[in-house]
Amino acid sequence: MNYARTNGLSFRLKHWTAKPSWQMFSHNNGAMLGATTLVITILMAIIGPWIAPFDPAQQFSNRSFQPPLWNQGGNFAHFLGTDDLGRDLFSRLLHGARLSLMLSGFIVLVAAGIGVLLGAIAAFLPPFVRNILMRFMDLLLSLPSLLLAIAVVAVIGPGLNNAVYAVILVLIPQFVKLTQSSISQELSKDYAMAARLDGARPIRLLFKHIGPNIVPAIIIQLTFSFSTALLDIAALGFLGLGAQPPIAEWGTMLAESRAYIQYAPWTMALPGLAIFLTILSINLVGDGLRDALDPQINQ
Amino acid sequence: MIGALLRLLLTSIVSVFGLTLLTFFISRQASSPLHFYRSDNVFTQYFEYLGFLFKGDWGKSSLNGSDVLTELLKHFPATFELLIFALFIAIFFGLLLGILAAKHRGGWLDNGLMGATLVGYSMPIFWWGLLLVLFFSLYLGITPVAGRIDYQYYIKPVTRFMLVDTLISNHHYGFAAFFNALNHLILPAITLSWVPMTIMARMTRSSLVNILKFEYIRTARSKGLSQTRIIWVHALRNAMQSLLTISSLQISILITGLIITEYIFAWPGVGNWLLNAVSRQDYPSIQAGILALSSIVIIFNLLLDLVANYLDPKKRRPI
Repeated sequence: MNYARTNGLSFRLKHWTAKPSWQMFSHNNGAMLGATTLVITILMAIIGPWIAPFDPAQQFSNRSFQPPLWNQGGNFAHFLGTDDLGRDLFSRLLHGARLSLMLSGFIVLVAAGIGVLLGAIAAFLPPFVRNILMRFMDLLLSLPSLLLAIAVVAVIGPGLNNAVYAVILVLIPQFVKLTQSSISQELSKDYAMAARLDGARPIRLLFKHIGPNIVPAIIIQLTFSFSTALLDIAALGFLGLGAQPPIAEWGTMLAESRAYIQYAPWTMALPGLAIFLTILSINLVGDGLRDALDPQINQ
Repeated sequence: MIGALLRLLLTSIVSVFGLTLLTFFISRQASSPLHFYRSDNVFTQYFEYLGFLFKGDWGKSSLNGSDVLTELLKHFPATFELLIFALFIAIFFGLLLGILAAKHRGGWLDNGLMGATLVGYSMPIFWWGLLLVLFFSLYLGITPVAGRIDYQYYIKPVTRFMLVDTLISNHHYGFAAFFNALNHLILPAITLSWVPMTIMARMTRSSLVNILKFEYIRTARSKGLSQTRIIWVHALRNAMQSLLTISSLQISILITGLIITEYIFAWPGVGNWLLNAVSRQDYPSIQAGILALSSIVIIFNLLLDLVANYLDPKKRRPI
């Protein structure tokens, strides 16, 4: 990296210094709004078990379908209302936030780890093998993620754990493709050639020279994959293929509410709103990061 | 030109073969084998499987023993009808909104539209569908909640496209049935087209804004052409390139949405049939459903590539 910097060969390096990026990010109103919402959601998810008024699975059989506070008949004990079995919606939403964010984070980290590793290996493979691997990744990428996840769940069976494995598998190709193509792109640049001529081996080349230049692209991909993971887990839950009742998961809660949407619309509105706001804030943050970290993509 | 076409065709064929590998694997999960293979070797069995697929023998459903391909073809028209209708809405309104925003770029209309599309893009469609049902079907009562047509109409399935079948049926209620079918179609189509439409609008706007800076647009303007003609004829043709590139992502989103939409509205299409098969572990039907839906994606991508090839003069030169 020193080599590159002293020769001024890599102009992208200057974007990867913390200050200008943060300035760009913090001047982006949408991104800041998204980041704030996301941080609040994450905090709520972390302290959830302590602030939840009830156990998410606790049923109050005499209090089913209590409307939220702002509706007629709402009360403070269950200020977001209760569902068909008299379970407190606020507690369930908090538990759902914890579950969704934790699972999505786990999924994205595992998928990115495997994907980046595979992509880095692929970039140094002989062209023939690499092309076959990349064609296969292209095929997987062109298929709808949910369809692939359904195919995986069909083979290994429904359930939350299996849904997580399915979504991990579905997200891997994006990272393989991104890593491979950005490494190949960087390898063709002058600074990489200079490092190679200097005698740098692939591992050193990868970590010291090329690595810092592809990290921004991977961070951006991480954010968007995070929202895909969250959405796919919720969708699988909604379709009855992911988390099974009585687990308080947003998609599953939405599925359970379907029978009562006319009678108790809040049981449908609130979990959906939670999914929507979280996805929106992640996407806003992702857009902001893309503008801040990689101005070239946007132009 | 021909070389490029052949390569596109070859890529799609290879993709379909890659898919059959996946579905072969799924079909092997069935408790009783899908076909009677003559060999014990998995590798040669795969080629036998391919042969069966080509002959139209896609196996028998493990639920009721009906032929899977027949069932698939029975459900396909409903899916296709919904897909085409949603695609039309997405392209038409996406283009319209994008052009509108690009025309007034920087103005309040542009900002409002782009804010709305950002919000719309993040909308989980399984929630959006339920909200639409709550408002239009249950609150206003103007659209039906689910299904393709009301039970009071008996329409003989000829083409299995409900809009066509109602029109060619010689019942006295043919027209009423047509509008009933259309009414059933509208809410699922809006649900399904929502996310692709917002992406379409954003893409149209951003590529138009870039293109409108070009010199040839200034030339066209100085010739005295109207703004409408400049945008619709001169700029849009150029913008088509990037719109077509993004469309392959769109079709993938559309198929994901299709499965969810069919589930919400109990639409008797391939997506719903596939979900039913998954929940009952009917592997022969699962492999058929996945093969069919992924093939739609591959065929659409091939068509898109062909159109892009045709539109791009640089790619049109002979080999």
